[in-house]
Amino acid sequence: MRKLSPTMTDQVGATSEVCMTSPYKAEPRSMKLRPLKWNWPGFILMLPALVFMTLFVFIPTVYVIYLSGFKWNLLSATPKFVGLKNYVELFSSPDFRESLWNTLFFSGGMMVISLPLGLLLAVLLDKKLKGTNFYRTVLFSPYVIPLVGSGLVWTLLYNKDYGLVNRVLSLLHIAGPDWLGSAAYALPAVLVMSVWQYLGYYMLIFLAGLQSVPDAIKEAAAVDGAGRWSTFRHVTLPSLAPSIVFAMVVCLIQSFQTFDQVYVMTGGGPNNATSTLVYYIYNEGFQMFNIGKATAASVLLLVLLSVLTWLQVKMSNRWVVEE
Amino acid sequence: MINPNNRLERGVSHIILILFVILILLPIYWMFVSAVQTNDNIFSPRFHLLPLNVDWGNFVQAWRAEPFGIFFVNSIVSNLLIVFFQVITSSMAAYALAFTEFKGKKTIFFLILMAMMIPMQATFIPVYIMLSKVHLINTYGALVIPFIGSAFGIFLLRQGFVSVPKEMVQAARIDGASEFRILWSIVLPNVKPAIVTLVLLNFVFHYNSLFWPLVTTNSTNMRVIPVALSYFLSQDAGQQLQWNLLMAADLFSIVPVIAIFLFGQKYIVKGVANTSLKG
Amino acid sequence: MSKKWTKISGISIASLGMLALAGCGQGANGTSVNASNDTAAGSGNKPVQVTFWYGIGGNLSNDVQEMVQEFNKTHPNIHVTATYQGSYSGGGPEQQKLLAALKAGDPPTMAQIEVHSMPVFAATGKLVDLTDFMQNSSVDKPDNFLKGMLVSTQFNGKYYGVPLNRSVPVLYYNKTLFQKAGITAPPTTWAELQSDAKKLTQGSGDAKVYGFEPLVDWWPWEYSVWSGGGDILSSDLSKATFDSPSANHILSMEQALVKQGYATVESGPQYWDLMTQDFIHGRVAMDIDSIGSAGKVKAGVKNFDWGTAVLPKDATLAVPPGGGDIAIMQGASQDQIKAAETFIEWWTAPQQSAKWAEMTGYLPVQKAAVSDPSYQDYLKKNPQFKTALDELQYQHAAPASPNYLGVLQNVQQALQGIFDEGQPVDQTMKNAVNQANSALQ
Repeated sequence: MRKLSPTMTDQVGATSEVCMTSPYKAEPRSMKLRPLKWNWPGFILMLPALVFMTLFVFIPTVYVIYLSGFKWNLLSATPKFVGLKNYVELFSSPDFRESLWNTLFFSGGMMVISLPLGLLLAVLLDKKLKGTNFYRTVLFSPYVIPLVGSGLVWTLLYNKDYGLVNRVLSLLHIAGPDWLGSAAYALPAVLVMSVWQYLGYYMLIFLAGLQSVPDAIKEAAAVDGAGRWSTFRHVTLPSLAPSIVFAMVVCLIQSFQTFDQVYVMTGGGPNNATSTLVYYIYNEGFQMFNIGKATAASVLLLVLLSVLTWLQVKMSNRWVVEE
Repeated sequence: MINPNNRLERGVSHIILILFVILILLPIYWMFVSAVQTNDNIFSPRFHLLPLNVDWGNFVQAWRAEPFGIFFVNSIVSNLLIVFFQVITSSMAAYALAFTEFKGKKTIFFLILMAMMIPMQATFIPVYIMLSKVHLINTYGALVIPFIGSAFGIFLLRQGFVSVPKEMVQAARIDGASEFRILWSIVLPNVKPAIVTLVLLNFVFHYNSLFWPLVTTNSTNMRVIPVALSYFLSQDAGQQLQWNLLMAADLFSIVPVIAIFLFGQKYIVKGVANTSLKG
Repeated sequence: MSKKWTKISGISIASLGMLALAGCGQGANGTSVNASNDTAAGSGNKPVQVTFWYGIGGNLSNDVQEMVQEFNKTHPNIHVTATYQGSYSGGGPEQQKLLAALKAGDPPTMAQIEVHSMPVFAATGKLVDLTDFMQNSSVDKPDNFLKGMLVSTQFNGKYYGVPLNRSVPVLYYNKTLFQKAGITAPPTTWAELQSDAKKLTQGSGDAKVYGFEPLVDWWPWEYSVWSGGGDILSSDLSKATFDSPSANHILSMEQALVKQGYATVESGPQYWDLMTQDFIHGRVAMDIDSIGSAGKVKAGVKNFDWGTAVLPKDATLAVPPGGGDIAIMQGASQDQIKAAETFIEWWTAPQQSAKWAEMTGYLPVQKAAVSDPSYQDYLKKNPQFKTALDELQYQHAAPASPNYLGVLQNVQQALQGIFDEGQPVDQTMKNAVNQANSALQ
């Protein structure tokens, strides 16, 4: 059976498609068709997209890999070849290690918080309650607000003296911290803001998945006298597996590419506490003019993302096949 | 079928949802509160949930602070161009992946998968230099051309295309229809929801993206909305950071995306569910 | 796996071929799209088109536009198009765009360059050497500028910039709170500042007023290093030296005031504006802020008297220049360079310099502008600005290293560690020095 698939995705989200109807899986279906005798129409149709992606993604990436072997400040005429020195420097740089750790923490946090919450909301909305349209629209709305704007309003909310968050806490006689100004709270604060921004998006992914589960199946299970939880656990959840894998991959890639919130809300501070990998790349490359280090970090980011995505797809393949 | 259990459950569901709605709306509401106040009142030590003063003039002032009309045109036109080209290149590529065989297909698929993981911040320097060599910096070209090929678009549409029965395609081929014709008159009419989804999501994505337009445009009449918003942020000594105007500008700049979503969201959720079930 | 990789490389090579083809097609496209980018020199009746990128936004941007309009009106042969490009401060968008544009060979005719970034850009060799122009100009002769104004405009003994919008940090103090605390004059030494801050601190909770607020920024930090008797870099610019006890002296006192509750700090990307707002709202009695903020403070303060004072000295007194200079980029035609020079002379001439200063609160850059009657009149009404003029003689050039911005990034992080997290000053600065040393190599 072909996997049901949600389609609410983001730029990066699309990866997920691979997980759900992974190309390798979809293949057998097309194999059943009479293989085409001629090769060129398919390739020609591929060509426009491929040319543009080659120009603006693949070639620059190859160039970036090449640059990562040099020391260069962008304006000097000749980059100096330094071999793997940039990579060695990266791993000995506390800032890079912190950015790496921040990225992992942030991505983990996004997965652990926004995916279950998104699923919860989707399940509630799938009940066809009154006002579902309203709920759905409102819950999704932060996603369409530019991060420049939402980042700013959250900066106001988090202000240690005038901010609404601390004002409310002080009503409860809690002295709120300086959220964005302290190394301990700044990253969690940015995380909460990001959960707010993206929650509705994951909710929609799950909702689309849930609505593809035929009601008949759910009802049949209910008639069997299965408990609510057990219905969810054994009927709904497994049929949602593709959506869950999808959401996980989207979430991973999206959080690994976190930039705008950090740029607007903290500038990577205080003391590097909120610098993510992408922010690190931007900062090294474009603020400190250290192109070699920035490109080396880009290559590492890419390797890390590929490995993590590959792992997820592997794991999920087993999961999806099991049922 | 009304039983008390059910009613209780519904009640609890509503309560949870309303709680989330409040939490989600609060920052947006605060944007609004900040947009109608004076700067001083935003930072007033008095605790307030309602605005201390209401001055709708802030919206007018924010609108007049910069030629926002031009920025809207730039944003909307450049992003429409992006999605227009993306639909063309992506539907062709998705068709190739879904319905044709050619050498290297799997490899291409793999490359496209990789392409989605590369953040713009990692590759913008070579792209910038390339575009400047052909004098496209500070033109619509710089805003549009790098995004014409979209890995995301290909995946999304391929997913939709797979739901079109292969037999239909095969039959058309036997009738002697060209691949373009099959794509145009058989496949596309069957995957409207996927197309709408692509258009809406990518429009919003590019409408909101700051980094690339910030780097590649440098004249006022090429500026787009997020860049204009980010310029409200700068805070060198002596500059008055006008929080209220920024919030006001924020609110009116999301109107197009909100509108497009109100129009399209039903399409997306329902459409997606439908296509998926059809197969 | 290996099989896959060979396939991939095959594809990559194939795509390289396609790139060549696509590249050509685009070239043709590009030129047509770009036809409007008209930089033709106007020797005839067409005005010479020059572009000017600047990095001061909001109300200041409006002021720049007003000046440029005035210039265009009075100079029919030249048309200046000035565009705000985002902040020009260290690592701000204007600087980044300028860097990218220089790299791509498509820069504007003129750009505003933040005083600390001058070495970065001058070292690229892509700025026009202005030494001859200045020495031969009746307006912009080096002698015409106020003492200390030119410290930021030289690199390797040549002038690459002309002072445009300049400022210095000064001490702002709340006279009303000073009176209440029984203090008659602003502090002139750090010992006085410390004891004043303690006397001025009062209240608690929301209503607490702090005696002092340091700005968590590398700009006043430069002042603290030099005035404590330290140096930021070694004289050959090869090593960072800002972890000496004298370099850390003022910083340690500031941190102690914060820890003891006599001072507060603001954080987050809007820290600067937030600090100024704290002063405006009477939440702090003293802070160190740019003279460029005086206009904002004046407009904002409601119910107290305030003033500015020369920064307190420690072992000595040395203040960093602030603001920006204007530079001409190579690649402009001779006509454009001439036109740009005309624009610069016009802007820095006493009349405009004084007008600009009155509009914005930046300093007039020329001696003659200060003695301009209208500016003297302005000083009488706004005595705060006198402080900044008095302070000019203490201006100290920042190290002319092209890697200095990288060093400042490390310092900024260290300062956040010290003030936002309370990390020990000595150890934190030592770490920053180590990082800076690797940036300098």
